[in-house]
Amino acid sequence: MTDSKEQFLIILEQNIGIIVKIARAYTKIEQDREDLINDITLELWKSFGRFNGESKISTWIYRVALNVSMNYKRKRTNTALFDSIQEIPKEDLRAWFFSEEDTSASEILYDCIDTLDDLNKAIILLYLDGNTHDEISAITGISKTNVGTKIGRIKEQLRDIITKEQ
Amino acid sequence: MEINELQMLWQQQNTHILENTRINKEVLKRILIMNPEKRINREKIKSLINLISPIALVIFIFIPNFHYRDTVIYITGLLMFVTVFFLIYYWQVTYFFLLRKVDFSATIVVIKKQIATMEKYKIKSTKLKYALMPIAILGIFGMLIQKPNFNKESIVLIVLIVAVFTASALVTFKISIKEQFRQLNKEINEVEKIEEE
Repeated sequence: MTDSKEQFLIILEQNIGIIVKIARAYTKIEQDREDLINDITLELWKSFGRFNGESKISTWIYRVALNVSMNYKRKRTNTALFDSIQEIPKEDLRAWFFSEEDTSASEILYDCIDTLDDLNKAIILLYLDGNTHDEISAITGISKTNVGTKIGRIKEQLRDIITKEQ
Repeated sequence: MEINELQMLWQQQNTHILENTRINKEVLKRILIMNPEKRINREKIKSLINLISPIALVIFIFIPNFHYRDTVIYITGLLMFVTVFFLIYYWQVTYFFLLRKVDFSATIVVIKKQIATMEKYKIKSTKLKYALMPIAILGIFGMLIQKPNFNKESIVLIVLIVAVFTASALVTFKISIKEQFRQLNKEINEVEKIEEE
C-alpha cells in the first residue's frame, strides 16, 4: 500500500465516527447508509490530494461528509448527477450500524434530528459532536452570529419534539 | 430527555464506533481503499464513454453512410442536423466539466448553491434539446428524402411524430420542469439569504 493510501486510511480510522454518524442521520434504511458511506469515502479519496492542511482534518471530513449526504437524496432521483455503483457487501458495514448498544434512546435521537431540514440537521450534528461556533461556521459557510441564532432555534424545535415523543 | 442528554448519547456512540474500527481494521481497509479506487476507475471510464460515444457514432455510422448530394434540401438538412448535434454535444461537455469542478470539501452553503445552479443548467439544456430536436429530425428527413413526396401516408407519419413530440414536450415543460425550476430557484434564494445574514 502506498504512503498516501496509508495516510488516508489512518485519517479515516481516526474519524470514521463522523462519517458513520452523519450517514446514519441522513438515511433511513441500511442499504442507503452503506451506499452513502461509500459515496462519502469516494469523495474524500478524490479530494484527499487537494487537501493542503489549511483547515483542520475534521473540518475537511465534516464538509465532504455533509455535502455528500445532503446531496444524496438528490442523487437518488437524479442519477445523471451522481451515478453510483453498489459494491460493498452488506455484512462489511453492518457492524458499524447495528450494535447491542443501539438503544431506543439513540433511535429517539435520530428520529428527532430527522425532523429538521438538511441544513439545520447539519448544524445540530456538528453541535452535538462538540464543535464550536467558529468550527461550525467554517464547515457550513454560515456566519458565526447566524450559527448561534440557528442553534438556539433548533434547540427549541428539538425540545418541542422530545416533549411530544415522551 | 433534555438536549444535553442527547448530546451525551451522541458522543457515547463515538466510543463504540472507534472500538469497532479497531476490531475490524482489515475490513475497513478494504472498504475505504479498494472500493473507492475501483469506483473512481469505473467513473472515469463511464464519463469517457459518454464523451466519446457521440463522436464514435458520427465516425462509424454517419460518415460511412454519408452520400453527399448537391441539392438544396440535402444541404439544408445536413446543416440543420450538424448544428443541433454539435450544440447538444457542447452542452454535454460543458456539463461534464462543471460536474468535475465540484469540490465537496467547500463549505455547505457554497456546494448547495453550486449543485442547484448545475441542476438548473441541466434542466435548461434539456429544455433546449427538446426544442431543437425537431430541427435535427427534419434535418435527417431532408438528408434521406431525395424528393419531397407528400402523400396521405407521409403526412400521417409527420403528423404523428409532431403530435407525440408536442405532447411529450408539453408534459415535460408544463409539469415537471416548471416545478423543478421553482424548487431550485427557491433553494438558491434561501442559500443567498443565508450568505447575506
